Amino acid sequence: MKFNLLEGRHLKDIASIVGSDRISTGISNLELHSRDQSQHPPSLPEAVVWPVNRTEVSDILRYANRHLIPVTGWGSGTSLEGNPIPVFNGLVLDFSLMNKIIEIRESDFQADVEPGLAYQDLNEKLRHKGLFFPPDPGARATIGGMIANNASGIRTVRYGSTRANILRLTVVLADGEVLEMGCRASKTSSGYDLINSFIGSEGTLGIVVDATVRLRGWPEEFSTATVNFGDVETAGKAVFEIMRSGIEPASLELLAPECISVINREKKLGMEVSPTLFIEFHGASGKQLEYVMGIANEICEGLDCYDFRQGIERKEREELLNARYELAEMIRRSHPGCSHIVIDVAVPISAYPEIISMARSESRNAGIPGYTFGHAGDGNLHLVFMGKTGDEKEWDIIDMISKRIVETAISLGGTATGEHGVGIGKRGFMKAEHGRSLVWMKKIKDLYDPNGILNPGKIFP
Amino acid sequence: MIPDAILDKISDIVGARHLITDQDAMHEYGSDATKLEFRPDAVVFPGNSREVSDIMRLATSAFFPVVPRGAGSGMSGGALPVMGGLVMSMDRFNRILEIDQSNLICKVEPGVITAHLQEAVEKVDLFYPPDPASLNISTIGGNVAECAGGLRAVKYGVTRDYVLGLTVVLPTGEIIKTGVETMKGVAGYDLTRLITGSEGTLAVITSITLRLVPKPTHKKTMLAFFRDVSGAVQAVSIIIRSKIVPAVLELMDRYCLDSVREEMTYPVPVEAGAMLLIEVDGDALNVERDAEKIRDLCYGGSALGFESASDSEESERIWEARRNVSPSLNKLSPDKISEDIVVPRSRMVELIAFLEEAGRRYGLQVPAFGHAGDGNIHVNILFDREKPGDEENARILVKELLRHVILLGGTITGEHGIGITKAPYLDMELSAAGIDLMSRIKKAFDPAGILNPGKIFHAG
Repeated sequence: MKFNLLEGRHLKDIASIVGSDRISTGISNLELHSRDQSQHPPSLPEAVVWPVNRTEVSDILRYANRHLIPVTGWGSGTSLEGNPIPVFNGLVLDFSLMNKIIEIRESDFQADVEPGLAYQDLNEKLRHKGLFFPPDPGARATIGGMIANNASGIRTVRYGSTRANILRLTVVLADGEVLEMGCRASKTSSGYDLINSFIGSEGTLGIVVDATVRLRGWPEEFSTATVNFGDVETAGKAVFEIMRSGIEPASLELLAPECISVINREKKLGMEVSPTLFIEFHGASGKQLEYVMGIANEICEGLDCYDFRQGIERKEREELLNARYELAEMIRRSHPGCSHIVIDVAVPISAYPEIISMARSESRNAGIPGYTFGHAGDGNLHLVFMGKTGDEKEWDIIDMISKRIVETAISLGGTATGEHGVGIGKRGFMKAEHGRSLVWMKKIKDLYDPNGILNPGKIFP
Repeated sequence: MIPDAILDKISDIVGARHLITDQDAMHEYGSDATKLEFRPDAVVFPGNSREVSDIMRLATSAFFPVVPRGAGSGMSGGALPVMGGLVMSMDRFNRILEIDQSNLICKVEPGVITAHLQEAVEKVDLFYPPDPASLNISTIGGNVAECAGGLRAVKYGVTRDYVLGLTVVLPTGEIIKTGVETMKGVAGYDLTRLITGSEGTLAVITSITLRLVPKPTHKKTMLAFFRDVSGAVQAVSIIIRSKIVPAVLELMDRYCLDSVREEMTYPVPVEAGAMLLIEVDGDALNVERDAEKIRDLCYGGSALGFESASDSEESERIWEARRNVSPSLNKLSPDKISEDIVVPRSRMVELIAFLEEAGRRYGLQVPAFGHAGDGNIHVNILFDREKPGDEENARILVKELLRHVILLGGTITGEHGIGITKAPYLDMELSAAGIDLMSRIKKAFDPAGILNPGKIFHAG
């Protein structure tokens, strides 16, 4: 790809679009926008711009497209696969100034928001209205970033990923064209489904400048339990049977013993160190939740779980949830001098026990510390490997076993990435997973962004 | 016209008995639920993806239209051979390939009838929710092509929400697989959803992987009567605001209610001008609780009467009446235009007020019924072709209606697709840039423009 370096005249032109106070080439700003939460090597942009409205975004893209300058959108840099790292440098558009809630329409269960808004801030605002925006990737993810990566989280098993919660988008295309797609009606079959081509495209097809999101009623009642098993594989089986029974958990998380140890160390929760399931139900009446929790209990007892602790109170529930959201970070903290890689495979739910056992034995045999956890109810498995930074031999081994795990997942009918996206790290698996379809994805990319200026170096091998 | 030499080649690909060229035998393949009629040059019944691929390659090189067809139950003309050419009937793709009970997915061929799939999965206590009213004849392939919705969409979503992956044949003849077999996946662009709802203009679907859900164990059907539509619509808002999501929340206005009044096994209050048909499903406890709450909410609002079906036979009778609405309206007047608009739920009252006002202004009856729970209303504009000015007024009213719907933040088609009947209005809803991007996608997939030409894009 042949891009132009950002020269003084470019900077001046862009400054005339946004004002010189909202463009920076200062090294600290460039560094802040050079890395996400992955292990991928940082790459500095040449300038960071903070747009405040769609017109500015459109003007910048039109300019960048004409001058062949790469443009990468930036939410809060919490992604895990290098998705917003500006590997070809160029401009980073930081959306932190476009962080407003434009309108909340309570009776339609909808909100219009700007992309730089953190989902927690939206939910904070919705709290007293009895509504919420369900996708919950943790960290301080912005809604724009969540749309770009089709983020999901702990509640996805019940409420769907970001995709399921977006009704309308305004997107700026590579040539500066502003396009509105979808609508505020609950459904539409009008023309091609453009909206879903943008969701999950990791900022490579267009840049979202506002969105209408779908809200849900905050549940009246919660019921939460933790369950301990003898081994991780049996916990995986319980997950499969719970999903199959039709009782619709709102979260169903698996935590291997090594994760519990980390949580205990940092959070002093004193949890039993064993393979653990975190189960939660949302519903309208306590009686009904008691009933479904009873079914979950029966399933787990049938698989010889040795402790099924239900009736967890709100305070403890929130502690547990926070511990889960912060888990990856805690794991990293507990290995100073190490770097990490996160496996994010998803498999058909029946293959969940198999992929767990395969992944864990790979990790054991290689002698590399691996942490197994994940959104089990979705068949999504995370495995964090920690390797000494700069130890090439160790990293060769980690890369090899990561590759084997991903390939196994694909051969089981699964995917290389359930929720983190392709970014930089999963590009190598695209051919294996998609075959000829990959050619057609590339055609779509060329169609939307003929000069390839939008977040280059991602998704495609 | 497709030249004989080409027809011979098609015949070689599929076998002579799977190609019809006889005008009389082709008649039914030129029409659909729009009652519009066109004449195909031939009808082919391919038996596998390879044959579809060979035909597509031939069509691209010899430049003749190919129009994929399921059951021909579409409401917007998606399966009509408007430019003649070859109708490709997917009748022989009629196998349910696999019901994977462990993973709650199934693989089916596109010609499988929606109701047959539902029966098959329900036998093993699974559930495929999308239920277009035509489900007894419509095919899954057609449902995917049009992104069909249905009565249960308010709770369960539309066809798109259940399609995990597809095998498709592109106009170039390439066979590709899209999507995943997992509950989630974010690897690359979403080709599956791009093709879903593309009305057979981008690819011919030859296999479909669908997500299933466990079958709800209990359900309860209820009826609530109101003096007028706005009372009923308010009740819908109250129900949804109370965080109950019924599986079905259907509205009938006075015209519709009158058209089935005699069939109703329940006493319909004389002053009733609107009815809600409500169904809740789930486990026993949930269903009881939700049903009770809904009853209280309806009476707390302005309901004139409320009935619950006590068993499945009674609820079937209620359903029968609902299904008869659309056909019964034909009795009211010889001609009708059906629109399939959606507005945000909070704007339904305004929409209904508009319908009443516009109906009066043009002297036309405008019955409305539909999926009130998700703001999707089927508006029927009744007229009589024989009556001078009637048809013209009806057409003007349609335009006004669609413009109004867009103003209210809605869409001109919730579940029927654009096809040919909505194509003239597409630019009311979508910007020129949006339509341009869509046509460029069309061009990338189908450079020769042979696949289902004349659809979606007006006067293309």
